[in-house]
Amino acid sequence: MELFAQLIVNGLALGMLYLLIVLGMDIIMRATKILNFAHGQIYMLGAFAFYFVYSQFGLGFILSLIAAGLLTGLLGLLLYLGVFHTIQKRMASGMPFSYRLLMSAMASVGLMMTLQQAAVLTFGSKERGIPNVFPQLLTIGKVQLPLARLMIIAVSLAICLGLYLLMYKTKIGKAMRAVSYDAEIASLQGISPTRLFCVSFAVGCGLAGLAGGIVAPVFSVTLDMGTGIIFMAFLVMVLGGMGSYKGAVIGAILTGLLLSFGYQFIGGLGQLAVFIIVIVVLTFRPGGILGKALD
Amino acid sequence: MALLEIRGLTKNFSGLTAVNDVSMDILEFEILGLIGPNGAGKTTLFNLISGYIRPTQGRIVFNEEDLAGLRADEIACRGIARTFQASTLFMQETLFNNVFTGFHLSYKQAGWKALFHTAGANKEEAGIKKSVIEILDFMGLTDLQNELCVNLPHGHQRTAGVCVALATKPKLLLLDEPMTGMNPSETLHMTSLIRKIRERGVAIVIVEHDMKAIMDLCDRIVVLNYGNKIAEGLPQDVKENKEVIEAYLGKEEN
Amino acid sequence: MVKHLTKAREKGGRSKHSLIGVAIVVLILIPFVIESPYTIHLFIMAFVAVILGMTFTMLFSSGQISLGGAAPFAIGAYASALLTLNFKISFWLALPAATIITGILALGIGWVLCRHAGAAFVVLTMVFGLVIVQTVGQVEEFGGWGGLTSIPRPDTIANIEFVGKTPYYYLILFVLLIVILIYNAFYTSRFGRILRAIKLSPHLAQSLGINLFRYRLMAFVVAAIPAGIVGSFYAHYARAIVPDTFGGWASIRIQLYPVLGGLDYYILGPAVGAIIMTFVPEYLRITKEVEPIITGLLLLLIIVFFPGGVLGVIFRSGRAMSLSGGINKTRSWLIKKISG
Repeated sequence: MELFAQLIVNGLALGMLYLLIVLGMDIIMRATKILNFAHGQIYMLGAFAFYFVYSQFGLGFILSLIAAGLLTGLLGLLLYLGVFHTIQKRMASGMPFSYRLLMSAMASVGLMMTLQQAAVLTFGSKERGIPNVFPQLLTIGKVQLPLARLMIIAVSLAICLGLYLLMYKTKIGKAMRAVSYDAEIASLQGISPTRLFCVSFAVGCGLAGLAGGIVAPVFSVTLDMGTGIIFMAFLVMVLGGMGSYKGAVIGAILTGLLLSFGYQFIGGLGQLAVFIIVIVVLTFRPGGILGKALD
Repeated sequence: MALLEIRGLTKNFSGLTAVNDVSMDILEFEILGLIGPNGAGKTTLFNLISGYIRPTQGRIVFNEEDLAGLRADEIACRGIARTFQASTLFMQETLFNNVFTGFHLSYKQAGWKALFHTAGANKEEAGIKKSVIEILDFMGLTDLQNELCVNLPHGHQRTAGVCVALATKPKLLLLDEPMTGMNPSETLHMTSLIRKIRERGVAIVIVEHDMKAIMDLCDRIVVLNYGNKIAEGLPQDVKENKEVIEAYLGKEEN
Repeated sequence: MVKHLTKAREKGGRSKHSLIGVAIVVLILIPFVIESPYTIHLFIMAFVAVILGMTFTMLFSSGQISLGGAAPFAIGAYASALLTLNFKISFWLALPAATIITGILALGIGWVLCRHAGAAFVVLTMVFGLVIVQTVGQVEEFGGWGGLTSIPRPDTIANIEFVGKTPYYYLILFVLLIVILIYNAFYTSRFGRILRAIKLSPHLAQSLGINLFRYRLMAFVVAAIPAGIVGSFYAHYARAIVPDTFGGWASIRIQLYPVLGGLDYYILGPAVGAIIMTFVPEYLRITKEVEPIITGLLLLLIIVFFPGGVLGVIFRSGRAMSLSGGINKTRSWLIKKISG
């Protein structure tokens, strides 16, 4: 029983992490139609940001987390303006829309590698750990659960709530939800498309950074955390349906639970099992579980 | 026997009924006008017929064949061609190549023959080249054949779209606002072109807002409003139909 | 079979044919002129890279981007290596067998993948690329993370022993030329037209009776097969393969070749890009640590500032297919850059 509860908690924690990352990617995708391959690196940089703020400035967990989110959001903004905005402008009107998508995707791949290697060169390969911030085990009923995982779930939920408020209650949030690639609806709301894209990209990256910040005190901060997670994030994205927020929730939690249970019972093949499930789902439902065709 | 029979066609988009229980026939060689205020469901109807979206209910029968479940390309194979509300062309290609691509359905030589560029395949390509010129001559765009479509003026782009659709040798041609953005002389030109197309044995359904053109061209007119068919008949009858007038006036007031 | 050894846009002219003839003669003579085995090795790797780059372009010509270009490469390599190691068959049998296996797997994978387009397809190819690597890495029978070693050389054929680099050089050069011929035949046939139509406007292509899935699948398989062939070649050339060679990094490099060379040039582009990426780092003595960041930056900078690639800059062709803006190509790119 205790094992079962622990596996659930682990799975949910993992799922929430994936959710934050995938939501970020979905937000970016929906608004700007950019497939952000560099998202994993942003996540990693968020973890590093948290580490530095926490250990150098001693600001405590919550503030460090916020700092991580803000810093990565800012980075996202700069990246968008520096890289993607230029691409969007260059695309002549006669260009098939898929070009913008493909060019942006390739650029983000280049960005991914650049950021990754820049991080390697800057930070070196030393693993950074933060002395256990949440070492305790929480006892609920007869069951002992790791507080760290519960914290992940709780904080992620809080962030999702904040995101929900942003997307459903603010003007720019509503525009972000509704925008088509022509940004017509956005301009109807009186928001310039560029501003919309910038905000979306920044928010998306901020989410990744927050996810990194959440993970930092629980696991160590390593250089390859970005490359590892992006793969699973894409799987979740495709499983739940690209561009569907509800799909992201289902896909993320499902994947998290599958991996958690899978790892317990079949070790490394658990990942393989998830792949197979994704493939099977996609064969019968090409749009993913709840996907809408964004093509 | 009608060329195209539509029975009880309905399309819902999560709560919004774009087309509601529409039934109509399209006869061979006729020019049918499809009019109605903006949002009446005309383009949706086109999308349903040409296979880009699936109906929620109803049947579409073309040449005595039920089109249910067929993809857009399968429907094109069967002889229904269309143009689009926004000029849809291979913009980064020449007009010639655009129309050439339109002849995709004319290929009879086996694929591997095309790959090996056999004499038979080359002959087929040469034949298609001739056909492309023939269509361009017919539509009066021969001089522009080597221009990139993105560089063509708007009116010619609309005409080019029709050329490309014609290349599929359709029995039914759906024209979605072919005259948008055209000045009066271009409109007249397009009108005469449409008549010439009909003379070649193609039935035409045309969605347009230019009422004069519609009245001139069409044998019959169907009027949609909020997804419902509210009138059908000869142009002069439809023109005087009270419901039709209200539908348009109502929109104007809003 | 009519031979046009030109790039996708046929500019015509005898000069083109003779230029290509000269290039072929030069390539054939290289091993006689160059002594250093290491340089020959670079040429061999360059040829492999060119072919792989061309597979990316084949898919790109249909409007799809693959981030799993190394997957069929891996399949070909592992299939061939395992066949020769486990069943002791000759390389000359293993090569076609591995090619067929790659083709069949590509057909199966493509059956699922090619229903998607755009972003979904990109992600799925990446996923599959990594799945392949994970599979050969996790499963001990496939060599595990340590990979496969002692892969035999090709057997002596027609009295040619595969000792040293030269026989490999000619073999891969032969493969390269065949692939170029076949791909060129594709691009200049009606299939090239169809793929281009799908790329420029899938919506319109459908209304003309073009079955998107069928031709995307065709491009997918046609892209996979040469990758499988060079995979087999590579396994028996390097004689040891590890899963990491075929990972995401490899797929990105494969993507970089045509992007660097020029995406509009379906055959010349990947060739130029691959050659640059193989030789220039050597001569600039770029270390292994710095190479990834240079590659990443290069990819980024090219797409943002020179989407037409090297050839796009060189040729600034009058035919507007360049990605830096289609409208009036006779204006120089510099002016375009300043004005917007």
